[in-house]
Amino acid sequence: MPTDTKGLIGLKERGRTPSHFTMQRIQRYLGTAITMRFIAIAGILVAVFMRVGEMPQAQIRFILWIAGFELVSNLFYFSVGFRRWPRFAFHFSGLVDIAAIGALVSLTGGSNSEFVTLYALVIVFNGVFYGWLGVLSATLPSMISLAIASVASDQIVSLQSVAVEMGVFAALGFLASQVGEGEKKDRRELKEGAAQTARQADEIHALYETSITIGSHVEAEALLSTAVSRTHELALEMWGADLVTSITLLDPSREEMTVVRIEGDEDHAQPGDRFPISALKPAILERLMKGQPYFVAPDEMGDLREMFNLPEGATAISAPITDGNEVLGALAVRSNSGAVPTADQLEIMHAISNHIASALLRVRALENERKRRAEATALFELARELNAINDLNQVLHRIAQSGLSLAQVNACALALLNVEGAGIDPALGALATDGDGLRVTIADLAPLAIDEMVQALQERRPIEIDHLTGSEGSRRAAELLGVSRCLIIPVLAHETPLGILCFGYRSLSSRFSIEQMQLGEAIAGLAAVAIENVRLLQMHQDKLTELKELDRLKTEFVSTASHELRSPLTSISGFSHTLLRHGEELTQEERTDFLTVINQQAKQLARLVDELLTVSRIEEGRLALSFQRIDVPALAAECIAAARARTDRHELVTDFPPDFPSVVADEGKLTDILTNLIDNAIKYSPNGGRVEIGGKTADREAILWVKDDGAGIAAKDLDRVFEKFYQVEGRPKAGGSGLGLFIVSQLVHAHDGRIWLESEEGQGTTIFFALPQRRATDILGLSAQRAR
Amino acid sequence: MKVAVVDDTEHVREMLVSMLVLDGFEVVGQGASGEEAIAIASEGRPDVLVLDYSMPKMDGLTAARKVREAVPGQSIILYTAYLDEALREAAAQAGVAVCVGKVDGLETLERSIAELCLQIQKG
Repeated sequence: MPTDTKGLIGLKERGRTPSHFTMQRIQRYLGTAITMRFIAIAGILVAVFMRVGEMPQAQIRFILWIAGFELVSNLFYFSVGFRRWPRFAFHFSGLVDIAAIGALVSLTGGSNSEFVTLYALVIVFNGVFYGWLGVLSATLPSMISLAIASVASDQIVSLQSVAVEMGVFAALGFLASQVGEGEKKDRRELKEGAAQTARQADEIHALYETSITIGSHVEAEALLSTAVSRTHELALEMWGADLVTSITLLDPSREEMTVVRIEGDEDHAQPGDRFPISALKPAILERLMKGQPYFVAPDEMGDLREMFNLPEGATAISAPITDGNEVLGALAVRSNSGAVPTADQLEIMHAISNHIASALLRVRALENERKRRAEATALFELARELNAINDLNQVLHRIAQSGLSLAQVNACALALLNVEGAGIDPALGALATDGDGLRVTIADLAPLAIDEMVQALQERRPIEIDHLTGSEGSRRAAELLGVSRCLIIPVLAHETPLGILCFGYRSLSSRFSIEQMQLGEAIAGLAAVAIENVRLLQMHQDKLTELKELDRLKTEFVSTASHELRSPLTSISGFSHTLLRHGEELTQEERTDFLTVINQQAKQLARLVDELLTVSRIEEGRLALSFQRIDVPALAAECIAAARARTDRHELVTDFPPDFPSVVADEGKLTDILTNLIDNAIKYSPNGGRVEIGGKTADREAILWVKDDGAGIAAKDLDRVFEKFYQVEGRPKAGGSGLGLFIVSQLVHAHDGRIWLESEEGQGTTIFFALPQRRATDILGLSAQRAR
Repeated sequence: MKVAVVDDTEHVREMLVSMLVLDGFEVVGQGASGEEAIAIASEGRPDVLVLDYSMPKMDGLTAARKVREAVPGQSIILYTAYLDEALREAAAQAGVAVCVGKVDGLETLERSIAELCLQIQKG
């Protein structure tokens, strides 16, 4: 490859010839030439006319012959010759002119003639424009024609005087030729300058065409393809064969470069090949990062030679593609034959790389814009779709799927916080991957302590982690999801953390862009709204169901309460009415019986009213507990004794171990609990039987129970017997309000205890309740707390 | 004049029976459920059956319908703690002759029974 060139594009290749310049020159002096010729012909004719009487016939014929010859040559010159053989025609006619004028001057009196001046001017003209050859060509034919004329005209002019004149004119002509030489040199330089300008114009034109071609693209792929092939074409014109042109782009990590397009010999590198920038020599890397074009000598190829098995002695020129601040990549031309570029060529490469950079930035901005628009549309669609979904799990799955496709990641997870807000809820969440099926569920991730999740939620910003630097929990989570790099985005509803959205990349070298983070935050925002909506809807529906149920229970209660309150009233009013009307007709025993019923029913009324008041207090949170240490077996015995007065058909017993510890509780409330449970047991074993109050200690709890062998409770009612107003359907009526067990359970809960039951229809029921074991010092604090 | 009383609340039933006996009615049966009401009506053939509305398993209205299926033309008084228009209407459709509220007092019940018996005797 020759290193000296005729420019970017040779003139020959552009269809221009060197004679182009000669033609220009001829055209420039055409006016002068025409004038000269007319003067010459006119001079000849005037000379003949003036001396027609003095000259012999032969001489006149000779002169006219010269004039005719001049005329013919001029006709030839202006018709065919100028077009076909311009250079020859120009010189030939010039010579004829000079010969004619020389001859004429000689014939018409030499130095005495007015034509001497004209002749001198012609010689000077020839000297200036044709140099010493011009002078020679002017004087030599003149001398020859003079000699001929002299002989022909019988020594009209002496040969000696003509020779002296010729010598003087030749010297004058020579001096003029020297002046002409200087001008010629200037002209040569001018010519070279023009050629240089033309070359530069050609180069600018080529660059312009390249920039138009590159700039016409709207997609990065096509742009890079065209850029490489166009550069390759230009490189081949500049340096000949054995070249490889490529574009490599810097990864977002700024640690690796990827060959995106390559043209020429592709044996050594392929599109998609990557290499770390550390493979470049430091000096080369520095120039790349500074955005300056550079030449890579054979010994500067660094690790690339080995990596791509480049030929020994290969050189390259490279021009970084930059966005003004940062390097995006590089345009490179490698010469396998080791050519060395000129500074101009480096500049040309730089100019092309600048065009590529601006086109690439424009195309990327366009692509980004298109992508953004598509994302906005997709987000809008997602929001609309989510609006129509009422099931939380469906919402979560839809979001995870959308996150995966919109962010173009390998995995997407959406996990919600558990009720305590301390970790991932194992039952709620969704995972999506682009691979073939997931082997994990959100429940597998729930037990992991992902510190970055806490950080993202606390700092309310996305956190990027990779499987090398993340916390142990996050590393394990990434491993389960099969990813190496994760972006954790907090899902917040009005600053309240709901959970996290997580994007994952399988490859560690893939990095998350600002756009992906923004997209992630937008999806997280949508997720928060959708989750809140579904939860609110669910809460609303639950509340509605609850309210409906409460309404039903209240209606039932009104009916039950009026029945239960009115039944004793009916008895009281009926018996008292009978006593009043028929008192005298009744026996003493009958009267006592009637009064006993009145008394019992009055008590029952009082008890019902008490229960209603208790429920009211519980619901208003006005239940005041007074804690003290209680001997439960003793209290149970008292309750049993009191209950014996209400039944003679039941065997009432207690079963406590001798070392049963005292319990910290409110004595009145504990009495209420036990009495209520004993009465319940009596009530629902109408045929008599055994009722047992027992107790045992367990892990920091005192467990108490009341057991009967009565009717038992059906399985379907077991969960509901502690509900307010709930009465087991179809049970023989025993004067209940549906409040007894509700009150008992509320009193147990007020003691921080728990209550449950075991029952089988026809086999009896055991109701258990557990009270926490407390130290004596707890009493004061508890009472104060409950009082508040 | 024969009457029967069905009420699941024992003391109310006892009170009604005592009062009706003292008032000179012949109490031919007493029971605590809808099923018992049908049996008493069929076997005791009372002129008037006093039926409580609120009872477990089978309420007074259902019991009234079934009683009248078993003993067509049986006069029934629905005796209830909670009485409203809807219940009156439903009771009339079930063939109940008279509805008496427990709060209306025993005099109303006594009067209603006496009137019904009179109508039956006249009829």
